[in-house]
This record gives sequence, C-alpha cells and structure tokens, in this order.
Amino acid sequence: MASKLLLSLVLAVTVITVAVQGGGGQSPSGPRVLALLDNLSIKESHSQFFKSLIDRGFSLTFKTADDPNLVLKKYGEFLYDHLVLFCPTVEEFGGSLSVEAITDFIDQGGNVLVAGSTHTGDILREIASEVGFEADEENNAVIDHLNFDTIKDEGQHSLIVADPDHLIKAAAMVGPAIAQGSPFLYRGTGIIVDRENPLVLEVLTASSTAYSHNPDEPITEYPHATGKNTVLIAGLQARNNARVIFSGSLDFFSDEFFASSVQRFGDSAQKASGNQALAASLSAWCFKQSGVLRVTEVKHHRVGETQAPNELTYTIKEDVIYTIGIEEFKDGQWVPYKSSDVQMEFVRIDPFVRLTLKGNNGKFQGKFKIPDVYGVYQFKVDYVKPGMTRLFSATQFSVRPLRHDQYERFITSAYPYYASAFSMMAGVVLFSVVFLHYKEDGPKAKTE
Amino acid sequence: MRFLCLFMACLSLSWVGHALSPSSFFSTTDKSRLQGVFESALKAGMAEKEDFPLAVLGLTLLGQTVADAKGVCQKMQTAFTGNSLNRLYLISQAGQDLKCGLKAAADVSQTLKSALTSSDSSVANLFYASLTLKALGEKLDAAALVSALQAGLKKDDSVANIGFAFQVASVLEGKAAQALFDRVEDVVVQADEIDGKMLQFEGGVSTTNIILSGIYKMADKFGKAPGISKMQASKFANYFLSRKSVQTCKGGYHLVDALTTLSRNKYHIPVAITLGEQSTVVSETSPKVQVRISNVMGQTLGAMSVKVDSAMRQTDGHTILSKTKMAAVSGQEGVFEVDMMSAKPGRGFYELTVTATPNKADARLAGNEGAVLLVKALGSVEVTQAEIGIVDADQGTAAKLNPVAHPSKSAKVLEADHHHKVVFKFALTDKVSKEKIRAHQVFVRLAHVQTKAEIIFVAEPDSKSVYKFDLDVKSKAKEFGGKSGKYEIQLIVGDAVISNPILWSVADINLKFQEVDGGTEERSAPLTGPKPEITHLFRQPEARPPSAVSNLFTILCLLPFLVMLGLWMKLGVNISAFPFSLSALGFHLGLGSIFGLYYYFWLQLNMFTTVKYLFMVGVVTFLCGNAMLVKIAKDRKH
Repeated sequence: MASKLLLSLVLAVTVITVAVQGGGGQSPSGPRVLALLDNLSIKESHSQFFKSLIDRGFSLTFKTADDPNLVLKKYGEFLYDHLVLFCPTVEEFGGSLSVEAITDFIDQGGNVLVAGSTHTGDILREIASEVGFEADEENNAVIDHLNFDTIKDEGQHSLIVADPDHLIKAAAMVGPAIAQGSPFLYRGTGIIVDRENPLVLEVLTASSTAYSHNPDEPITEYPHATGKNTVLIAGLQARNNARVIFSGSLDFFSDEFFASSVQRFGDSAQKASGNQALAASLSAWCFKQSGVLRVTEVKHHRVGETQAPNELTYTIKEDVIYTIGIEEFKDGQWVPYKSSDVQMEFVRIDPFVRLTLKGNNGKFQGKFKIPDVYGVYQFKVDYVKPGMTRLFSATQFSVRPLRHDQYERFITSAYPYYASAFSMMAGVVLFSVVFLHYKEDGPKAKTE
Repeated sequence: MRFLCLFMACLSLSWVGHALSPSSFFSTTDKSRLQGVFESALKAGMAEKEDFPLAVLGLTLLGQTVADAKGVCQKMQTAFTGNSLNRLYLISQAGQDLKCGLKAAADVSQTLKSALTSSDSSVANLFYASLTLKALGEKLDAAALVSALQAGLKKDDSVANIGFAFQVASVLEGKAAQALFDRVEDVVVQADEIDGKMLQFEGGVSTTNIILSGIYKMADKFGKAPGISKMQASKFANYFLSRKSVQTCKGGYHLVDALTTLSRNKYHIPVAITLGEQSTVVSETSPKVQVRISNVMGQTLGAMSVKVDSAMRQTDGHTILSKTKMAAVSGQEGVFEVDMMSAKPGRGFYELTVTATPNKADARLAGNEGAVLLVKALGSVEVTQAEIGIVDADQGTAAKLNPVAHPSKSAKVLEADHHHKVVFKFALTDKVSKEKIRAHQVFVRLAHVQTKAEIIFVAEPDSKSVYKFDLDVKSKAKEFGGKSGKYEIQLIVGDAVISNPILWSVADINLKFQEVDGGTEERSAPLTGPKPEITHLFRQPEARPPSAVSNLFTILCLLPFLVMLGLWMKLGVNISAFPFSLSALGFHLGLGSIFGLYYYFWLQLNMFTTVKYLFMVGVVTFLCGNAMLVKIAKDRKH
C-alpha cells in the first residue's frame, strides 16, 4: 500500500517536471519559429530564405496555415518565439489560431514576419490593420511602367524594380543592402500605412511613378496608393519592442528572386538582385538578431568625485557627470554601441535639462549643472531610434536647496547692517559701564 | 499569378479537354546553375554527407563527367560504412554510375541483409537495402521482397512508401511485382493538384520523382502503359518545371531525374511550347513571334508543322490570326515564327493558341495541341496638343493657355495663388495610327523642389479622349499641407501595352497658399530622432549697490558710536566709582562675552551651541549683575 502511494507520488512529480520543461523551457536549439505556409511547396520555392534562418540558429517548424492542429499557446506559454506567415491566400487559420491569437502573441512580445500577395486574404488584412498597415484590395498590384523588370515581367509591369534609395535609413534593419546598391524585385500588393502612427516604419517604398491598382481595370477612382506613398515593405516596432514586418510580396523572399538578376526597363546592364541580402537583414531585425540595445550601467557623480553622493542628494547648482553604458546585439554578440544622438534628460515632471551625450566605446557621458530648483528628479534616457529597440533608463535622485550656513556670508552691500549691529553692541557695553559707575566731580561741579 | 488565372479561365471556357502544355523547359542556364550546385557539393568533399553521392548522380544525369572519378570513388568507399541505409543506398548508386566497384564490408552486408529479412523493416528500409544490394551485384529474392513490401504497405501506405515500393518493383526479376503495378492508378489519384495546373505528391520534388520514375520504370519492365493520362503527365511536368530554381543537391537530382524520365520514356512525352526569349512582346521593331517546340529538357522532337489556331485580344475577343502556319526558323531546330504585326494587331494582350503536329505521328506526345501563349502587342505613344496655364478660379471664361511641347520643359515659371486654377490639357496619340488613345496610368505629379514631397493627381479624359487636369489652388491647399513654394509639374504616362512610358517635367510653378491654421500635415509628436537640447536658465542674482555707497553708509552707521566716544573724550568721563569687586567685573565681562558670543554665532556657531554657551554666560552675568546692583543701591542710600 505504502509503496504504491510512493510510486504514484513519484510519478506525479515526474509528470509535473516534464510538463514544466515542455511548456516553459526554451528549446536548446535556439529561438523557435513557426512558419505557416499556404501549401508545402512554398517551403521549397522559398528554401533559401528558410535555410538562412536555420543557418542563423533558428529552429523552424513548418505547418500549412489551415492545419487543424495549430496551437500557438499551451498552458499559458507560447510554443514559439517568432512567427512567419507565408500564407497570403489563407481564408481561415486552422486549430486555435486566429487574428486575436496573433495580436495577443504580438502583445506578449512575439515577432511576426508576414508576406502578402495580390490575393491577400481577409485574415492577413485584419492582422495588418491591427498593426497599423492596410493592404490594398484584392487583385490590386503595385504597377510601375517605368521601373519594371523587362525579362521576368509577365506583361502587366507588376514585377517592379525597387530602388535601394527608397529604403529606410536604418542600418540595423536593412543591413548592408543600402551600401550594396542592388535593386530589389517585387511583385505584389501595395501597403498603405497610417502616417499618424509613430511606431510604423516605411521600410521600402515604391518610386514616384508607381501606383497600386488592378492592372486589368481602368483607373476610375483615385488609386489607394500612388508614388512614394505606396509602401512595399512596412515594419512596426510596438511599445513592448515586439516587431512586425509586413511585405506585400511573398515572391520577394523566393529562391527565384534571390537568384535572378534584374533588368530594369531602360537600363542597359543587368544587376544582381539585392533581395537575398535584404530579406536576411529584415528577418534578422524582425527576429531580434539586430537592432537590440541594452543598458549595462548607469553612473552619476559630482565633478571631481567617482561615486554618487552618500547622502543621496545633490545640492542645487552642483556640477554633475552622468554616464550610461549601452550595448548593441550584433552578429550574435553584445558589442559597445556607437552613436552620437543619445540624449539624457534631467526631469522633474518636465525636463529641466536635456543634453546630448558623448559616446566613447559604448559609454555615453554628459556633464551639466544641476538647476537651481529643488525637488525629486530623474536622470532619464529614453532613446528611440528607427530600427532599434526602445531604450529606457531612469534613475531617481533628489536635489535640495542650500543649507542655512551655505549661503554667502560677507556681503559688501550689507556692511551698514553689520556695522550698526556691532556698534550698538559695543555701545551698550561701554555705556553700561559709564552709566553705572559714573562719579560726579563733587563740589566743583556744584559750584558752577 | 493573375496570368495563370486568366490562362485557366480561358482554358475552362474554350479549350476544355485539351492538354496543358508546359510553358517552360529546362534550359541551358538552368542546367549550368544546377551543375554549379552539384560541383560545389563535390568540391566540399564530404563523402559521408548525402549531398556528395547525390551530386555524382546529378552530374551523370546531366551528362557531365565527374572530375577525378577515382578520388571520388575512394572517398565513397571509405564512407561506405555504418548503418545508415539511406547513405549506403546513395553511395552504392553513385558508385554504380562511376563504375567504382564498391566493396561492402562484412558488417555492411550484414546490415543490409538483416534489413531485408527482418520482419518489421519499413518500406523505405527495404527499398534502400534492396537497391544497394542490387547495385553491389547481389541477387534478390523477388517473391520474398514483394511480400515484405506488401506487409510494409499494410502498416503504412503513405505515398512516399508506395513510391519506394514501385522503385523496388521495377528492378525485381519476373512478374512477382505485378500486383504493385496495378496500384499505379490509385496512387496517381492521390496527387495534389495546384491551381488546376500542376500535380504533386505530398513531400515535394523527391517524393514525386520517386513515385513517377518508379511508375515509368515499371511500365518499361512490364511493357504496359502506366495508368497515367497525358494530361496528368503534363501536369507533373508543369510541377517539376515550376521547381526549376531548387538549390539543394537532393532537389536538383530528383528534378533532373524526373524531367529526364518525362522526356525519354515510351509512353508520354509532354511537349513544351514556349515563346522565344524576346517574343513575349511584339512591336514595330520586333514584329515576329517565335515559338519553340521541345520536350521538357529542351531537346527537339523532330520535324513538326506548327500553326497558330487563333490569336485573340483578351479585352474584346478581336481575332487577328486564324489557322496560320508558322514558318520554321532556319538554323534553329524546333523554332517557328510568325509575323504578327503584319496583321495590324493594335495594342493589347493576345492569346495565341498554338498546335504542333509531328510530321511522323507520335502517340507519346502530350499537350501538343491548343497550347495558349500570351503575347503582348505594344504601341508607342506621344503627347500632343499639350497646353498649360493659370486661370482665375472664379472666371468661367476660357483663358489663354500656353502650348508646351513634349520632351522640353517650359522655360517660364508659372505663378499661382489661392485665387487661381492651374489647367493642363493634353492628348495622347498613337505614333503610328495618329489616333487618340487612353492609357492606364495618366498621372500629374507635383513635387516640392526643396523637400521632395510629392502629390499625385489623376488626369481624367473627356469624351473626346482629351485629358484635362485642373488644380484649384484654394481647395487643394490641404492636400499640399499648405506648403507654399516652388513645385515641379510632371506628367507620367504608362500602360502595359505602351512601349515608351513617359515621365515628362512639364514646367515649374510657384504656388502660394493662404496661411492655414494647423493645416500642416505633420506626424503627431515625432517619437524618434534627437530632440532639441535644453539648458536650464538659472535665476540671475539681484543687482547690488556699488561698494562705495555701502561703505559710505557703513561709516554713517558707525558715526553715532564714534561721536559718543569723541564727546566722552572731550568731556572726560569719570568712572572712578567703579567698584573693583568680583560682581562688577563679572557682570561687565559677562555682558561683553554675550555680545561676543553673538558675533561667533554669526560667524560659525550653530544655534544649539550658542544657546548652551549663552545659558552658562547668562546665569553668571545675571547673578553678578544682581549682586552689583544691590551693592550700588546700598551705597547710594548711605
């Protein structure tokens, strides 16, 4: 009896440990990515892209988007760290996956890479609008009669050549793609972004001559996107640093576009396409392999000292040095961050001082004089740069006024007051002596 | 994608029942690319990886010789160990191709044989083991193998397993595997159809190839046509051709193997009817459409007569060619051409329906009839009757506009403010026919010269196809964000069937908008980028009087005391009544020290020490003062 009980107890414990490991444990083979595909042939036609993810240490799981066993979350824990949605035409997700599940995933810090096409389904459209983009209507394609690929275009000028000049200027996102200057092949729908949303990034836009419309129908109404407003690839970094990339073209990531050369209309020479490099950089950014910052240390002290004051306060008008150490995640390791636009604010409700810090090997330093207003202040660094995670650091410290004996003592213009006070004191002492002990000169005076 | 849909729509309408011809073939560039993939895998030299033997197999299939065959053989012989059946199988096949004469070590042949005899061997293992042994020159027990395969399939009859079984069946002696051959039709039905144009088995290129090549090998062996229709063969060919861009050795090998099978077997040869490289587009300068007839590997199929059944414009069904014979291009076998421009096609997309009939009847050909090819006829366009000008917004009268000529930019800079309207009229005409035409994209773009901000408007044609763009400066101010300044007006004309899209800088214009409150279209509170620096403004100390004034007043304040001392000196003060008693000395010294204490309090002491000292000195002074005054009062009485 007793041994049976013990056995069942041991069993129960084992089950619990297994459950905990299975649910919460980070898989040892790197960040887990779930790739949802329209059909499994996309796995082959986009094999280079997936291979680059695997080479960078991700462990990929491929499923069709309507797989009835799709689960994103189990026992309150997400089973995947990142999501790839290469399923433009899916009408409904299988299993427990839904738009709500995906927005919840993003809210919990998960990253999503989405690719649409000219036949983007409603469900991807809904996801897009949740994150501040809008994919153009079904059958609408980005058309550019002046920048299309003359060899591979199927006649409608909808296989367009995007210029690297129209990439966002954020090295962490686009990597070496700008410097290489290779054009990008793109075939798909246009994206309209919400310009009021400061978190949305226009990663790649079309050129001025492009527009998004159904190529088979004449233009009767103003197209949804024209010129540079036609966004080809849009990005979002949410306030919780979750990242979303939405490309209107699934073919952008395909082996065919990676390998092919680009023959732009009007150009004489062929160029290699930059799709592969850009896709690698964008996925690295989206899945937090680049553009991630962290604070290593925060230090502040008076000029000439090395430690923060012991009494935990500064006095007004003191000169203070503030130092913050910042590191960037680059090529798989943390390296000192280089930049010239890190700013520190000295805040008491409103910033009283804002200064740009000087960087030196990842240590950013600034010197300033504490304002002559006392109160509780924060040294605050709130660094927001396109393509970088938001960096926030606040250190609270109080500032007190001068003590009663710290004021200036001998003021020239107050000398009259000093003189009158002390002359009065001396007068009292002398006068009391004279008054108390005065002796009249006797008869001589009386006779007078 | 859309092209495909159109293609399908047309097919379902009028060519139901016709075969789907592959619209591309395995070209020499594809071949050299795959060759590169294989050669780099060989160069890596890792014979124990599966890429290595696959590369050998792929290269032989492509008809290339493997460099340093002896070295390769040696490497494979060393790697021919272990118990991974897949690896043993691949190496044995590659060894057979290179005639290496691989020798199996005792433990290897033991592994292989036990895989065959073991009762619970999977179909895949049976396949690997039997084909390896076969390659090594061993005899196989056909009946036993077939029953083992049947047993394995009973457990797991996935399509991949059936493919393996087919492959084994195709190498077995005798008729033992006949039962498996009968399953062909059931298997083909399980293939997934993609877009109604391709057929594929779950598992991709490799699985599809293993099944397909197994079927054709079996058909060869039993001398019976397989249960595949010509249409299905074409669809499989389409699937493999859509996978031409594979980058792996495995995919590459299976792709080439499948395409070779589909171009060499005795039953079905899908015909690829493809447009020549420059022929997707016809225009004045290149009026001819070239069509290439080949098998899926790009090899010619002998003498053919090719004709265009019809050439129909997609938009309105206008047909320009029918039953026109295409002429063979001399010097290029299997290439035929027809002059389409001579039929005066007019701009648009045309569907060419092409049928190729072999001069010597060949029942194997699949998809050689009614292949639909999409050809685009281009026209060039010019801008005519262009005039631009500024008119008053409230005047209905037609104002005078300045003519502008196409490629040149108007030298005059236009000026417009909120009372004005900008009017730009033009027509698009076909260069050849001189007819007025309409284009898909006719946009007018205004770009701010400094900020490069752009606003694009759509120019709309009237009933006579004259385009008119007018811009009411006042009502459109909001779209410009109220930003006045110099703008460049550009006309963009583009269409899929226009050979010369136009981007023309028409003129510069100075726009002056009325000041609008809050009309600037800025993003709300930019979150990013450095903000302006803030330095705290310290409160300035109040102004002080010059020191001469304060010194003067110091002297004035000291004056009464000095006057008192002076008068006393002059009068002579007699204090001889001073009693040199302890109490009198104590009182006066005490009083003096109290004031001294005040002085130190001002200089350095704090309140508490001062009070402490004051208490001590004060008590003494009080007692002494009391005693002294009592004594003085007593003296006075006497």
